Amino acid sequence: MALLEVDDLHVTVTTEDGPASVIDGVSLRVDAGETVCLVGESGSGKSVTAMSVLRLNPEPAFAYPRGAIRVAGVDTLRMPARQLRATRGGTVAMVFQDPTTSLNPAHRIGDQIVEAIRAHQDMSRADARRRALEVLTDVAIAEPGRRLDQYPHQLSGGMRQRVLIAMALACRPRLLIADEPTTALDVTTQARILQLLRELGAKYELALLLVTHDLGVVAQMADRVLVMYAGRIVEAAASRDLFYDPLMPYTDGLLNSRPRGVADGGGLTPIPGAPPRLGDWGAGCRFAPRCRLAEARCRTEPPALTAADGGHLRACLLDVDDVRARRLVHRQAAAR
Amino acid sequence: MATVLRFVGRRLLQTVPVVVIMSFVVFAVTSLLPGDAARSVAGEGASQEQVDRIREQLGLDDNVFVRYVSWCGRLLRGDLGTSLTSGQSVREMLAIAVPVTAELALLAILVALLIGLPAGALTATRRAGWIDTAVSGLALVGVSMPWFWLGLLLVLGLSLGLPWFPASGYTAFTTDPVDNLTHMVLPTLTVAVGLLALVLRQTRAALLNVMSEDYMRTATAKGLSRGRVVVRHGLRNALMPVVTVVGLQAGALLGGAVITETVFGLPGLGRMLVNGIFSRDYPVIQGAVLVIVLAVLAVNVVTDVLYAALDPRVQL
Repeated sequence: MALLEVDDLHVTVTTEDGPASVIDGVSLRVDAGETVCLVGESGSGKSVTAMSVLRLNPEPAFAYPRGAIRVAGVDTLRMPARQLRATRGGTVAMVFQDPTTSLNPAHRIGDQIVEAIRAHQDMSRADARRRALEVLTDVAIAEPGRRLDQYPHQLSGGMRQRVLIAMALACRPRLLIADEPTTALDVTTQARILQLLRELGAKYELALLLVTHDLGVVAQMADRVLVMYAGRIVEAAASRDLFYDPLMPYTDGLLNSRPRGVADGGGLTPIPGAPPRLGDWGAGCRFAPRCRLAEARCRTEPPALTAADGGHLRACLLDVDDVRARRLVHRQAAAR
Repeated sequence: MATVLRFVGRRLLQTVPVVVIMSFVVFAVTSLLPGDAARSVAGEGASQEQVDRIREQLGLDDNVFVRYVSWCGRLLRGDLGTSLTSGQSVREMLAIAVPVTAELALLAILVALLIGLPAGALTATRRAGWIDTAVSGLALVGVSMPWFWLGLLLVLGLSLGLPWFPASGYTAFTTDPVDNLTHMVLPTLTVAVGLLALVLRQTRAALLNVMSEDYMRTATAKGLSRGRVVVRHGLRNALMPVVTVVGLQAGALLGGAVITETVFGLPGLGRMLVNGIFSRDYPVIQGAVLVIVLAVLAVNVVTDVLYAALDPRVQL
């Protein structure tokens, strides 16, 4: 059984003109021990999808009209409050984007970790404090004993992200959802945090759902990759397949817009245009207005997510071999 | 603890110039009051000679600076002078009046916080629901209502209408605590309502701000109950602006006490000041105002210490 199984998730958000769809039929699964990356531009719905798992999108502004999110078989969208609390931080833990604002400035580091532990385990304060010291040691923070009694503002951003990871791992979750965990950090700190996540993933036998817009992070971390665009998953593949053989023009565009080889004189090739506004998605393929391969039918006929090659899924009406051929031509032209 | 004491010591030293300036302003302003103390001491039918003699006895002929310096000299020895009308020492009068006003102010702050904080939290978490609308509406009424009018309404309703609480009079807490508190109910409510409404509105606004902070999401994601998230993580961080408001209101609170004590016949600082002004009793006015100035300054120091206690990022 999958550890996490999102099935036809629909999420809406209340706007001035009534509810608008932000997530439109997303399905995904994460098995025990694997690392899955969810990539996409800002506004593609990747964070909302991740937050939905523990129902952390602010309600009632956000609503879940259809779909299910099963954690170890039980739907979090229909869980009683008590069970949802037990799942949050228990089976599934989360790490967020900005470590500088994600810790409460008024409480000591140790107290915040102890609180997380005691929310799930019947443990004395002293035992919980010992466990807190243990996880702080696990995340390789310098002088873990001293950190317990410090306040968040006394720690650097990288250290705070380590604290947040320690807090997430304190109750030995089976799935860790990390929403852009390195975006707010400088590059060297980013690399160390990713390294730490990999090591801890192995040590704690964690499944990892990593939300990111950074394809470099994806390449380092992912077993499987899901690409989101305008509230839908448009391509899903093993990491290697996705990087070497992107079968959806949007994914190809993302890969080309990486600053790879800029130092050698190669330029960036950005995707023209901007993602559609919330809910303003048209009838056909949502990427069609920006797609250089788009045909007339792309604008009227919505593509379904279907298997192209073994486990490689994509939502595109164009012929697979045609996409491959034109990708090659385009890359050669760009290289010249 | 040592840092706190050092901070308080430093702050008290800083207040010395303020106290000196304020005391002179008070002294000068009382001297400029229209009316003649000597005449009011001498009585209606006194002759001009009698009045002049009394004026000389009281030292009112001297230049204002001379009188200020001699007043300061006596002040430093703990002598605040004697009332021109009753001949009672101002220090003794203050010893009776200050506890009454202090009790009134503390009770009002206590009531305002005990009701205002939870009610503010409740409205913030049920934003735009009927509870929020009703309570916020009431709070607006509470902020807008003049103190004297509310006091009169309370007397009409809860003392004359329903004879639950006495409308006036005072018993010292040390003499009879129960009788003391029954007498304090209406005055406390009168002073508390405005402050309560302010605390409530401030708590609601601050908490609504804090609710969207990232650490609130972290707290929820840890698996804490909604109540614990709101109180331990939300309210704790929302307290700062509330403390500011209560601190700033300390002066207004003492002003409100003047009116309230007059309405309810409480022998406090406010009534002492009002009586002093009506009878041009300079030493009494000066003593009372000096105490009020000191109280407001003390509240400021306490507020700063509370800031540091609430927010570890604040250095004393």
